[in-house]
Amino acid sequence: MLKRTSTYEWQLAPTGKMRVPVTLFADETTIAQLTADVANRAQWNALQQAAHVACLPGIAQSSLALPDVHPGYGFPIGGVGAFDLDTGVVVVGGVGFDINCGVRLLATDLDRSTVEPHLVELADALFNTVPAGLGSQGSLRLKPAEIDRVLVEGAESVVRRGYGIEEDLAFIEEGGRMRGADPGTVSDLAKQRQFRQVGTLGSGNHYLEVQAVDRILDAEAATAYGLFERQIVVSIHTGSRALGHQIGQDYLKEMAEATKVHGIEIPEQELACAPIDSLAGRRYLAAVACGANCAFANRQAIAHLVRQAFASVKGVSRAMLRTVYDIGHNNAKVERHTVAGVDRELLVHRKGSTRAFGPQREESPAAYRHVGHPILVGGTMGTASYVLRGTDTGMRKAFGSGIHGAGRAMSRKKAAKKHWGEAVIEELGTSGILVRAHSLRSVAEEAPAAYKDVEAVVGAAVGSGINAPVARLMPLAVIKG
Amino acid sequence: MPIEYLDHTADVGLRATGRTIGEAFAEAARGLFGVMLDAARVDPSQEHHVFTHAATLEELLVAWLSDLLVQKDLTGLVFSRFAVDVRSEDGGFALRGTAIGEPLDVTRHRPGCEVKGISLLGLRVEEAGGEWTTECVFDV
Repeated sequence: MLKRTSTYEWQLAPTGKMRVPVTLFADETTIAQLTADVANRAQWNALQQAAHVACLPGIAQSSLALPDVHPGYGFPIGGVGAFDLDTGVVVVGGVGFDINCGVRLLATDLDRSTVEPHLVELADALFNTVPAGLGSQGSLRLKPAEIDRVLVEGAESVVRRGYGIEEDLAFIEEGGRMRGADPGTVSDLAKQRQFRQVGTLGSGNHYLEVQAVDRILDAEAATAYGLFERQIVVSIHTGSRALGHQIGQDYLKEMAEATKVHGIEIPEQELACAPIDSLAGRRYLAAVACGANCAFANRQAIAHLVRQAFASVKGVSRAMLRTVYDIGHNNAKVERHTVAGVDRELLVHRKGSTRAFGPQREESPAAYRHVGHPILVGGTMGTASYVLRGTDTGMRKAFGSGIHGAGRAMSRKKAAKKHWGEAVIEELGTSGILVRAHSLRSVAEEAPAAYKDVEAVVGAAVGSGINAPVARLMPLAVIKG
Repeated sequence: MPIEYLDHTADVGLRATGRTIGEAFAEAARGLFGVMLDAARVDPSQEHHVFTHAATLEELLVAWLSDLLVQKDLTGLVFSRFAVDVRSEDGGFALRGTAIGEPLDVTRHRPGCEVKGISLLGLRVEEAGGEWTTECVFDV
């Protein structure tokens, strides 16, 4: 079924209604899981989902599955699909409900020896300062008209309100403001739901982590990013919150209708779509830009709260926290790529995948252009996270795309049956990792054992050549919603 | 078993059943809130009424559950008891439902993971052998 084309690259040739092949970047363990799911007729399987994406009109080159691939809805998580602007479609399942969910990495100027004596106090300060978990509310209360400003201006809008510094913006993807946003395409209901949620972390796999740089793997890139060994950094993983969720829910319905109106044949309902060049397609993309800007604003607000938390802890109160980068992993963007030797503009959907542009792309911050922008890859509560970067191989083979995390290997139901939240926290504690959580059940569901081995996933991404390693980060304290 | 959670890797699959379609929809709502908290700890003291219409039963299920999710954010209410009536109306289906609960209290309700939305993956509402079954997948 799958043909191995190199150590970490596999291909599923087009069959049936597939217009292009599926190209997988993965190790043997992941491939074995994917093929077992097919053989066992698993109700949801990522390989089948990637094959379904390959059936959509206007898809270019290949439907991609990256090393952290696992079943999603519509697109697999860790899936990438690029579409011709004239003949292709925009797909709600290629973006998902948590529009522009992503990671912000902040770097301090501190060595871990300065912070570790104060880690308990710092973890408590972060837990008490950053709203997280079900029902949490932020301090920024935004009325619908004020929300409109956030939807257009993104991170800049909250910096203007005192949540952060101007210097943050240059180191956020898109400058923290995705163009083409139109608040008129976002329902009042979405805006009302967001009223109290700007600057909140969320729950589930969202987190805030104090980390130490464990190893530098690329000295030139690390120097460009301002990273050094033993440095204390902070990662924030969250997205567009209720506004993004409501946009997803609203447009699933609208796009299901558009699919019928335009006579598009789709293998499953979650691939509801519209021609990119249609009213429904343009409306959805304008709404996605709004959702993306909301996520940028959310992470910016939380970054500000992290600075406040540090400032409140004696011993680390003088820490300077600088934005290294802020990158999303659920989005659809118009980008220029070379396909079969021809430069084209394509709409690239990345679901559970980041942009990973190699060197010399103008989209990267000027300070990083010579090495390419960082890719931020979250591990689990107990394992490493990574900073990677894009490569020329990745640009050619994967539309400049990167992994976003370890990827889940076990359902929440199984994880909660096998693990107790208290036991997970205790076990992490014996490894020197502090956990502060609003939900013990979530901790159990997020147990490290529920995820793939991040080292193997990163190994496959690097081994395939699509991403390159820059630094390895280890967790010291984790805040969970 | 009226509620069963299914093994989706990243998200949460739910199968809810009932002797009537109304019961199955009520169990689906109980399953939705069961992901987010310990619904047995939610005091059924405040009512929220839902009236919605859709062309298909599957769209109706999504509309019903979405409405309840929205309430959580707009009013802070979470629910533990549900009564649902579904009937054919105006060329489609109409749902009249009541959800009963109270404001979220994270110190009592043992919060879990927030549901972000109801996807269309595996969505079905079917009757067989005198039993109604609903299935859907929640994005968490």
